[in-house]
Amino acid sequence: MSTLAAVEREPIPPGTLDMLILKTISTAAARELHGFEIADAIQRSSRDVLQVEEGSLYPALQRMLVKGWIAGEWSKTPENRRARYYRLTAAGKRQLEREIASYQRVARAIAFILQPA
Amino acid sequence: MTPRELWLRLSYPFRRRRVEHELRDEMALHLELRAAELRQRGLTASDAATAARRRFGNRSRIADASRDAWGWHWLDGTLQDLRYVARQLRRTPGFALVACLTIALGVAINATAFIFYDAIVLKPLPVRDAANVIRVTQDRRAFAAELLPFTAYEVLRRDAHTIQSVVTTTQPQTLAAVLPGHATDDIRFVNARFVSPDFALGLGVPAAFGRWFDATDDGAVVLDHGFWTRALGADPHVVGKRMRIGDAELTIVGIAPPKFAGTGLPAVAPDLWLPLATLAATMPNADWRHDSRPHWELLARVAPNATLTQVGAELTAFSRALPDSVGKPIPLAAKHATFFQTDSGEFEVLQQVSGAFMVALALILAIAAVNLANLFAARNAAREREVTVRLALGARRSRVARQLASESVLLAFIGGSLGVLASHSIAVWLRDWLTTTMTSVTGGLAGIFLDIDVDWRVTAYAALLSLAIGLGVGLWPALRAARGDVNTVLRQGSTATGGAGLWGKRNLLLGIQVASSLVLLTAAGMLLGGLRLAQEIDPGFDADHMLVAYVDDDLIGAARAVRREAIARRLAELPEVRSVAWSARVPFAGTHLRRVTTHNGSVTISLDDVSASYFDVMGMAILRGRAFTRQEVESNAPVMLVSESLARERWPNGDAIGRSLPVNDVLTGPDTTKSYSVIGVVRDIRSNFLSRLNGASAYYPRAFDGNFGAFLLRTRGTPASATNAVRVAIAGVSPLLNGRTHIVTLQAGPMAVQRLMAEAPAALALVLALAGLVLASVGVYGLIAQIVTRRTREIGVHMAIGARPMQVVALVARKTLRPVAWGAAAGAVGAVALCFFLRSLISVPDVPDLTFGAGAFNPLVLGGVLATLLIAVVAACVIPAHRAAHVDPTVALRSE
Repeated sequence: MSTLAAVEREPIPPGTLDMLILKTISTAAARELHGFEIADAIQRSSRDVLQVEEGSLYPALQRMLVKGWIAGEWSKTPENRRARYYRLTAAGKRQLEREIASYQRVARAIAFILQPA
Repeated sequence: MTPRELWLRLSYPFRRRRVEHELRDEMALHLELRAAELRQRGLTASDAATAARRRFGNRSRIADASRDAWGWHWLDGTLQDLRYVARQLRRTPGFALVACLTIALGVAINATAFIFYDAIVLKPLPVRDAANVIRVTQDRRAFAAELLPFTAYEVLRRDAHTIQSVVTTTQPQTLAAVLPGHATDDIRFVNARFVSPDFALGLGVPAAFGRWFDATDDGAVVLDHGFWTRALGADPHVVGKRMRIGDAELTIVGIAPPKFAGTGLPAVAPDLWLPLATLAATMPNADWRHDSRPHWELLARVAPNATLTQVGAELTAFSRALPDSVGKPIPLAAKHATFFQTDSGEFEVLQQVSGAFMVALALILAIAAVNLANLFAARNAAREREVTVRLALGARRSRVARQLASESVLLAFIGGSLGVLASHSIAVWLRDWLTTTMTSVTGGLAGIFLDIDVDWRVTAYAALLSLAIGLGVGLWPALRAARGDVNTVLRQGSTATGGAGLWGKRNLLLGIQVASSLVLLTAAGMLLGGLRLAQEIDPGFDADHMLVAYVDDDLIGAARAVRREAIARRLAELPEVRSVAWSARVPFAGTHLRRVTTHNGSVTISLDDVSASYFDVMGMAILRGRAFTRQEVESNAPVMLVSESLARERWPNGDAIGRSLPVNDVLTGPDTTKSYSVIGVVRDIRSNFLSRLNGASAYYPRAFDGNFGAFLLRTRGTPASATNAVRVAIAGVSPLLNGRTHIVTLQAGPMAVQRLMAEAPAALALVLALAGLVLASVGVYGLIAQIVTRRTREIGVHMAIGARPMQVVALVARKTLRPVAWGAAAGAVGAVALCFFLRSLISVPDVPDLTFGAGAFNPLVLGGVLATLLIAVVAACVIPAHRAAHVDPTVALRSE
């Protein structure tokens, strides 16, 4: 447990979970990811700062499946376990672009406030 | 929402199993992989599994949240709620029954009223695209504005651009007819409308059988569906058969559709539809197509792209082209045509009055709802703890509130459905009663076509009401329960009581209900007493053998008097008729009162202008002196007969016979410049109101002239059996009088109206009183039940220290019966006041006595009413009081 507590973790900022999941799935374009890998990838990419709660990950995946941003396909893991692998759809790519653009606008705005010119 | 997403969401219920299965697999894999990762970091297998599960969190909660993504969670919740509610209600069937019936009662009353509102106020014309149909009328006319000369039809049809499909119809005309398959002397009188050949086509009315006539038909007739069913047994083979109408032989070419009652004004279905071309053959004297008198109603459709304003403007422009019979231009106007419509604004008044009535009925429903809310509050108080526990365990407040509300919504739904079903039967019964009464009272002159149907509007109205009750009744206590502070309630248990203000308001409401139902019950009791008397009342003359014949003459002056005399002679020759008289006033149909001040104070005198044989026809006993002679009547001699009471009043000492009234005396007859002398004294009778004697009356001679009046006939057998012979005899004097004669027996007509004056208020008061009593009982029940549940612990303590059950009942009842007691006291005062009001009416001579002489204050009625109220209240108390008396102290105390 001590290794898990080594870095100070932050919850995912509200409203960004969808974007992070979509981005994670799109980055791993060569290989599709299943739920656990997505959670893991977000944690790793954020240098262990952001930890995805399973309690919000799976409802978010369902929501995005319904919205048609991602598609899921069942296949085998290397350990020969059945898992649902997710990939981005065209609608998902557009959504990701929209969310990134919107996030960057907000981030810039916040930066203006924190570091006045 | 994209189409794909919509499809996914909609198809979810069918794929639900698979979706959930997949989600479970996915989460299981996640847990395993996490555990494996932890094992790699050195945890034992069991520690790793536990840690993984702890980190993952509540799996069913996540599954719930994931399910929410599909947007179907409300259905799950609702089904759950319904199961829960059904379980609750099965446990307390009495409560469910009372709640359902209360709602059913309230909804039935309201829905019945709405059915009539719908059938009258909201009823469109029964034609295609009715919103587009207008009626052309004479502008700024108070009377018969809907009737226009035939030229208006011809001109508008030819030249108007803003309207199209111009059609015309006469008002219903009474014609002598021989139905197919009947003997030629088997004449029956039917009502027919003459319409333009394109009437059905222009309005878009199909035929149920056969076809409508067209421009080439000059000997065709279409039967009304109702008439075809009534008179011809709905025999489809009559199409193609011939029937005689007037002197013409016509062919039945079709049957109108069942719900097509015509275009209103009047709102009755005629028996027959005849093309214009048959007018000359069936009504030889009516040259209505060429004379300039207004006999025609005009309807049309607004042309596409035209507005009602444009139509109005164009009609104004046409006015000059349409001179009336004396050459003045007829100003025209257009208004939307509805089935129930009048030409002088009564319909608009009816719309407003009935709207106000609907609001009043909704208030009754609101009272029912408040009482129900009490009942529900009583139950929910008992469940406050349960609710609190569920809140403490993390149930969402909205979810709990919804669950509590769904109970009342379910009950409201069941009750509302019962109410709608009941309202349909009530409405049909009322419609039948209303149409039969109207037809018999007016001798078939006025009927009414009511299309009683539980259509979507009625259903929607009732559903809306039920939903409002369900939500209102359930949500108020439910919100209160859900707002409850978890800690307080858990600590205090169910001893917590509601705010004092709320209790005060509820008590006030209950008191008002008790008081008003008491007043209504008293009114009903008194009116019912009058109703009993009304059945056996003796008017003082031979009312059982009287026939009234109204003849609406088109002649004036001396010619009219001559014709009336001819009719009287002809009628007197009939074997069925014993004697014939003419009277300016028909008994029980209006009054002719003169209020005068004499040396003895103010008196009201009833005046009658009558022909010589009046007293013979009425079978009125002449106590002293004699009746008028023929000569006296014809010469308008200055003589009079007076009633006993008038003779007593004016000449208290000695005989009235031979006395004269000075010129300009208050009693003097039609000509006040003459001195009238008394030639006879007759009994006091009832002919103004069945409910009271006329009092001082004077009778003056009157020949067969004057603008108002009717033939009164005394028949040998039953008056109804003479009706047809009388009609044939009058038509024999002039065929045109066919459609202008209206015959009714005195009993079935004017006297029935008089009886209705007793029946209608009595029935209305009774229904409202009973509804009020039921509602008040539910109110009492709810209040006591609430007290019992809220004070179970206190009752338990009382029982534990040795209170007897009766003492407990008294304890509970005391609090509730206080508003009942002051409500009853206030109601008794109101009831007595009502009695005095009714008594005061008796001193006003020109209104009927609604109690029919039963008197104003009747202690028996008041006593009976109080006893009824007492029984109702006691009955309402029994169940909750019984429950209170059987509180088990150990259980009551432990449960806290």
